[in-house]
Amino acid sequence: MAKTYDFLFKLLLIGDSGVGKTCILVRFSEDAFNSTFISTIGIDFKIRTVDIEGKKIKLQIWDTAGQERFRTITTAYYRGAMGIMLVYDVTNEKSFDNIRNWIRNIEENAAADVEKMILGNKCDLEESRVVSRERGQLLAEEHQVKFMETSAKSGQNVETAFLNLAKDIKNKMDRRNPGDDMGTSQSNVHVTAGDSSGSGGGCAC
Amino acid sequence: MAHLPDDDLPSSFDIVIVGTGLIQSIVAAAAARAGKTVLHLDNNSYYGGCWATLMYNDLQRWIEVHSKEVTDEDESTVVTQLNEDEVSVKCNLSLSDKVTNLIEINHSEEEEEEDKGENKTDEEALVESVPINEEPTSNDAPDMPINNEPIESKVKVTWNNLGNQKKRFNFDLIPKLLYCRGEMVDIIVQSGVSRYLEFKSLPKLYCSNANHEIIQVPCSRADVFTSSIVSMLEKRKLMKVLTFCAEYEKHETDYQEYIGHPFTEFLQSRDLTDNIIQFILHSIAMVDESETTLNGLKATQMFLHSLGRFGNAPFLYPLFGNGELPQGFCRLCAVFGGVYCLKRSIRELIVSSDNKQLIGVVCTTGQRIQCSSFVGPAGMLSSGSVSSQRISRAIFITDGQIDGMDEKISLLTIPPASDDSPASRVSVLQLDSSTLTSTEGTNMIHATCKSFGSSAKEDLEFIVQRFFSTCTTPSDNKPRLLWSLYYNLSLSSCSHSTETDSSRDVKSDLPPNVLMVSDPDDTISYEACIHEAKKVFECLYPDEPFLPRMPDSEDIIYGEEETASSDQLAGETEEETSANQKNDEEDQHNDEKDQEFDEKVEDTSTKQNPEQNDSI
Ligand SMILES: Cc1cc2nc3c(=O)[nH]c(=O)nc-3n(C[C@H](O)[C@H](O)[C@H](O)COP(=O)(O)OP(=O)(O)OC[C@H]3O[C@@H](n4cnc5c(N)ncnc54)[C@H](O)[C@@H]3O)c2cc1C
Ligand SMILES: Nc1nc2c(ncn2[C@@H]2O[C@H](COP(=O)(O)OP(=O)(O)O)[C@@H](O)[C@H]2O)c(=O)[nH]1
Ligand SMILES: [Mg+2]
Repeated sequence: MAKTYDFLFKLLLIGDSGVGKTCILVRFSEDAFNSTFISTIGIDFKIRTVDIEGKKIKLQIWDTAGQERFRTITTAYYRGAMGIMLVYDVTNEKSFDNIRNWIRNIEENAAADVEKMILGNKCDLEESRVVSRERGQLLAEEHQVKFMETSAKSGQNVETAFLNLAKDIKNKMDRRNPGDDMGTSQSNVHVTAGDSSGSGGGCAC
Repeated sequence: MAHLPDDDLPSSFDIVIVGTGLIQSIVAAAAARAGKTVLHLDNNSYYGGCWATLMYNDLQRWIEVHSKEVTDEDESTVVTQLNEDEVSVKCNLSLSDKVTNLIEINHSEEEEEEDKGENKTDEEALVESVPINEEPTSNDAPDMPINNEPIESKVKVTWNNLGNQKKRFNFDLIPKLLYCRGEMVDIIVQSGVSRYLEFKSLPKLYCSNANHEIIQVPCSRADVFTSSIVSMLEKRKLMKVLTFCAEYEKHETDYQEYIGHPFTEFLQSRDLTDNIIQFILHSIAMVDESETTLNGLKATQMFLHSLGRFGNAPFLYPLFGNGELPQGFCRLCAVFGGVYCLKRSIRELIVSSDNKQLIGVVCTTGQRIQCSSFVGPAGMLSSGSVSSQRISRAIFITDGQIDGMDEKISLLTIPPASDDSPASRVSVLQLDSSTLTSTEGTNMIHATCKSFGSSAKEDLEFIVQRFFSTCTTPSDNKPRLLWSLYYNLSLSSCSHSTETDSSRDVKSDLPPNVLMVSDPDDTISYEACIHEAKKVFECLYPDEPFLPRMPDSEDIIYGEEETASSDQLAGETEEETSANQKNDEEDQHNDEKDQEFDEKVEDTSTKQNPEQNDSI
């Protein structure tokens, strides 16, 4: 039986509206940037399979569907997430300040051991930057998570960031006692054969 | 709580929907799916209204809000600027009278008080029985091991020492289950909402007999013949009537004359003992004595057909609780462009004085929004014919399973008793930590019934005496009760008739483009809710398909098709195909992708065939 992947990781994008989450997702999954992107119809999630340390890892990356706009992310969004990209916009001070709020939001709703990473996006807009790289770095250190500046427009660091997050999740899994399950149990019923079948499940073998 | 400043909402939508209850959320998703621009608001800070599942902190806030005296001081004096040809209809924002008789009891406090021999609280005084304390260690601080036994076995779980773990409880305000072959399962599969959800199946159901004994409800042929619920003689009769119900449509002449009559009358005509009639009525069909024959047959058939789809169980329970369902439909709506805003509602409808059509709404923030339709909860507008009924609810947290309900996730139905409590059927849903609604080592037990006494506590307290160990009535083989919550809910329902009918139509005194929807009903299932959501959608958009199948399994792309990584895409499509086939009952399909179903589903999909009716 031909397996197309060894592991399935569910990842989320979180951050204020307009910081470039959807663009980052499109850049990573399709290597494209459409600056006239008008999100009348959103993206549910995107899939990309990557190779890490000889293993095929299927990344299922969920977008907020615009529900962050009026502070209305559903608690259901966080279910089964194994990694979260926290995104702010280096040209928008408030989006940076709100990272703390988003971290609190994650603590309330996501699994305690979810891997996190902070991204300062739009780093191509050097002339209108208001948040320095150092401040981003400090914030990340304070929360003990990795940090990277990205540009969905130029593609800078987008791929590296996702690969890093995926690698951290994989390392965490490898460290774990194989007997431990990654959260949800095998006896859960999925009423579709779609991709949700792997959420939180870890190894799909 | 301080109001956070907000961006203004867009000023025009096709439809504004208030309340994120399940029916509104399904309608919202269907409207967005049909290409309508949707604004979906909710006055609460959480999704779901009374369909919600609340985390502990939200539940505490909910308790606080609903324990307050209802004060309608919110009579806003704000005047909305209207044009000459417009009139405004005020909306009722305070729906807090829906919840009454709220009582929360932390039994660890009770235990401590009992242990100290102090006076009982008012609540305690209701329970008249001499406190007997047979557990000497409970006098001491629970975290101090007294002898050499390991700490874990010594520390008694109490609500107080659960500490931070309490945050991980998820409380259904109204617990429900999905029939495995019910319309809800079909709709979530077809719409794609199923990718946001996971379920547990309920492999065993129980009922209790006149002697208060818990007995397993037979869910297969073999079960019927080994069941202790019926005598040997009754078994054949039971089999016969169930087989009949499973395909009742084929024998129309056999039930024709009972169509308008109660289901009980039909059952009596089949030469069944009272024992079996009660059993079918309350544990299989789960309908009231007064239910019509046709509805009774339908309910029985739904139960029987649901067996064997996902395990030999008729029901599914959503992980994290039922509140995941409205959130799933809201997400689907958002993916199709729906705009969401919580902690906000509307205070007025603006109606044209010429043609009595709704032309817009005014938000609680004062913002005016143009729209061509409006959907809101029953009771929001004083007009509209709405009926209401009261249910009694109890939620118990215990340190173990109910004795006799050895299946961790299971449903017990307690039929009404003529002399004893309860006076109406009580559903007891037992959930363990694998449903992610309770924590390791505890159970969440929901009890629900139509109200018959003066309060939820009066109606449902018999469950405590019957099944739990408390400090006033300790028992070794019963789980200890840690915490309980009682409340009554008053649930509104409105009838929807299509177009012309004016006498009983809720729309009658409302603008035709304003629709009200019901609260949850008192049944355990979602069937009525789906039915109403479809009906409302049909009234709004008669020519649009209702939640058609998702165009693509991976995502909804506004632009061009993906060409890169075609392997995966092929994989995805295949998976979706097998999902469709599953839905079309071609479960036997032995595609490699089926391997990705978790074992349980796979097991039964092969077991289930070749005969659909194998289970009964
Ligand atoms: C997750 C989160 C939780 C917050 N919780 C609180 C709080 O409890 N009390 C408080 O005073 N302030 C809170 N804030 C901050 C607050 O929302 C505003 O940032 C602040 O009040 C300034 O308001 P504003 O009108 O300038 O911006 P706003 O328009 O209020 O917010 C700007 C952006 O922040 C995001 N956002 C803000 N709040 C939330 C939220 N709760 N959930 C999801 N997205 C949000 C949205 O994407 C929005 O577009 C929170 C912020 C976030 C991100
Ligand atoms: N210059 C620049 N603009 C970006 C970048 N990423 C996103 N944008 C723009 O920021 C806006 C919001 O992006 P979007 O992905 O919709 O943000 P979201 O709300 O977080 O999903 C769009 O106009 C994008 O074109 C980036 O890296 N550089
Ligand atoms: Mg976006």
